[in-house]
Amino acid sequence: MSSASDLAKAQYLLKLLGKRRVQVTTEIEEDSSQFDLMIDMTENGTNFEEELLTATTEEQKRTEDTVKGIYDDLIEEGRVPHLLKDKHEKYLNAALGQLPPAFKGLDASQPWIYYWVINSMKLLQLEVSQDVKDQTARKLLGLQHKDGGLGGGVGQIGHAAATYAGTLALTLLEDEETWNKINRDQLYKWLLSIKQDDGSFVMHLGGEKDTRAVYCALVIASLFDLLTPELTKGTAEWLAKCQTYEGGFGGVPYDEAHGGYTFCGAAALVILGKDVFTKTINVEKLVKWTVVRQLRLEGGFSGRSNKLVDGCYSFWVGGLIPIFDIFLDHETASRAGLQNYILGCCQNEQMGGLRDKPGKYPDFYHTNYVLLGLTVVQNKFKSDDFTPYTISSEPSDHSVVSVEGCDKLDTINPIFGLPKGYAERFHSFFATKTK
Amino acid sequence: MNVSKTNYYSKENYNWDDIEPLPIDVEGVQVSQILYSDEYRQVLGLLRALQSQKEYSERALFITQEAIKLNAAHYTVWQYRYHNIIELGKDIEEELEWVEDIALDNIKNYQIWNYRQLLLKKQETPNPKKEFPLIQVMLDDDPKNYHVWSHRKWLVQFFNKYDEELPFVDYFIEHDVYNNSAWSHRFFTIFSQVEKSGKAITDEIFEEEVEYTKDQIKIAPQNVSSWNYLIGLYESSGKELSNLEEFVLTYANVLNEGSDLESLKSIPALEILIKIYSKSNKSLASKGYDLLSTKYDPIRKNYWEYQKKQITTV
Ligand SMILES: [Zn+2]
Repeated sequence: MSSASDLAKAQYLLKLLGKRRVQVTTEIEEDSSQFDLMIDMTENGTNFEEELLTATTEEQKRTEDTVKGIYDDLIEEGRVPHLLKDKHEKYLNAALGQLPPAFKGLDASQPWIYYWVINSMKLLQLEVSQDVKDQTARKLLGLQHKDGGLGGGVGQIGHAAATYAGTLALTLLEDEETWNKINRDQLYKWLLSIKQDDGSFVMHLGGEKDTRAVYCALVIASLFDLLTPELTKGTAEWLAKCQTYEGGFGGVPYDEAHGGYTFCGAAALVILGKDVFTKTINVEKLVKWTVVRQLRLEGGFSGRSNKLVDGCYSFWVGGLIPIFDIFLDHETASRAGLQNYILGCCQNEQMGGLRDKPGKYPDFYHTNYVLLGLTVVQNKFKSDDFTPYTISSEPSDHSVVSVEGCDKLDTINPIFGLPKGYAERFHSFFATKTK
Repeated sequence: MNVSKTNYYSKENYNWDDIEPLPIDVEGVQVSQILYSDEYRQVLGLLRALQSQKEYSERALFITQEAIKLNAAHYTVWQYRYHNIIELGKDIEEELEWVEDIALDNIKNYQIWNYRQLLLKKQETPNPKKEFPLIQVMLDDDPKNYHVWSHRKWLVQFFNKYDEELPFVDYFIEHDVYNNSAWSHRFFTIFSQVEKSGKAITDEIFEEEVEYTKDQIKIAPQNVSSWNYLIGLYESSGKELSNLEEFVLTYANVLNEGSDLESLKSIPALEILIKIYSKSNKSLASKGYDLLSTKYDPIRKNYWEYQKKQITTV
């Protein structure tokens, strides 16, 4: 080790001693376990050997330095960060207004915007006005394509992800009249048309096939109570082939394990049934892969081995924690560590909104998934019969993570990424019709 | 809604007089409304009008090009372009070249790869010579690009062409031993061939891979990518991890009486050692999990406690 870094280390230790005194002498926070963990995280330091410099280690080091700087400041001030609800409210209200032309990149993903924004508002327990609900309903119904499914915009062909996000947004509107205007028979036929012989689904006719498309299709089918053996034949087996030697899931068989695809694969299997989840994949390897995604210093998750922390994986990877709560009945990843990353590093303190990591701009996508990650931290999940519509939760034990009242969000249904109750009501509305 | 047709496209000598652009938006006030530029509204409106009358023509092809330049993430446009190419009997080789330029400008876009795959499947004698160099260029720029690696796997299987894959992977691992995409591609290269053969992996290949991986671990003993690959090799080949005891002890000799706790060089190595001991010496294995949860890796305390519970209750 160079003398320069020795010096830096010595200075850091001196600083730290001072900070510890701050913590003892000032009683700013009612609970300090969260605070103590932050000190542990900064002391536990790096995820890499320092002698080998590659593109990966250099980027990792830079990220760690930034995050450590933030934690060190908080430690020095003797406080834990809180959720900036007012700021996020302003950010989301702006999202409901008009979006500048640069947003054309989302022109083929418009249902996502409604889901991300309204879902975030619901998680924050904000009022969604009737005007907003009406306009969203009108828009979503206008996205139904004549050949089935919802498109990403007016006149666009049916797309599994657009239909998925649109369906989630529909659940949030809680309007049975609107729900009735979706052509369910046609939707089912369209789902069959994107189903492949190998059990998988494609995103749209002629489109790409991957675990995301499978998850989207199964969520749609489940919520509309259209989950038939005809539609799901061979799907679990195909998904199982996407679990990699590392334990997570790739987009297709032999692809690299990846956070987004892993959540989709695991949640899709839960939708297919309890035995399917426990019997078709190696759950122990999945758990291992998941917990290793949590970074030692940052506390947040990365999406792949040797990639950087990113706030959205608070849900794509962190969203597996509720599934493990249910099936393993044991704490797995560190909820408290994740909370430190979310509250300390993912909030934009000026304009509101949540983000990937410090230095990045917030966006609707990250706002939704970081908030969903925070609900995972705050609640412990269980289900007596392991079906997606009977999942309940209770606030996380104080010994696991200390959640201040002002940071509280609504709890969720983790399989659908919705505040609790919405998927349940939507599904029972259509299930009654089926009978 | 009335969308104007200015002279913007007349310069291309296509006549649009018979076409009324369709609106690309619902009427009235909207929540989260994207304020389209006039150009965007015009191009996409014309495209929608042509597409809805199922027109396949040169001007339709032209308008898809303009639309893709404005928004390469518009999947409907790609689909429409594909149908134009096929219906008009266009030269697919030329079209592949056209997409290549778009690909280089939109490195994160993944519509492109699906589109290339559709085209290659339509060709009578697809030519791998063009495909692989493009991948190299894109990965040099972005060595962990998920969709590019995925597309390469598709190509390898499509052309059944495996001979260049291990050297290709070596190149990326040499540049950055932590590149997990490269390690995953290595696993694909070895085991998708094993799967195809219907037989088990040969001892020769297995040993070669183990030696290669151990060499890479020596360079970076904490690297989760190389350790995961090593474990994957053993598990997928049905070999016992206990064969690794001697190797992992060189990085994690911290469990035996009197060993130096500060000498740990690799957490993944310690974990394998504990797995081996959990069958032969449960108290040492428990001690290992305790050390992981309290000293070496406390962020995963819950997980290590869970693992400890598994071996002590079974
Ligand atoms: Zn992200």
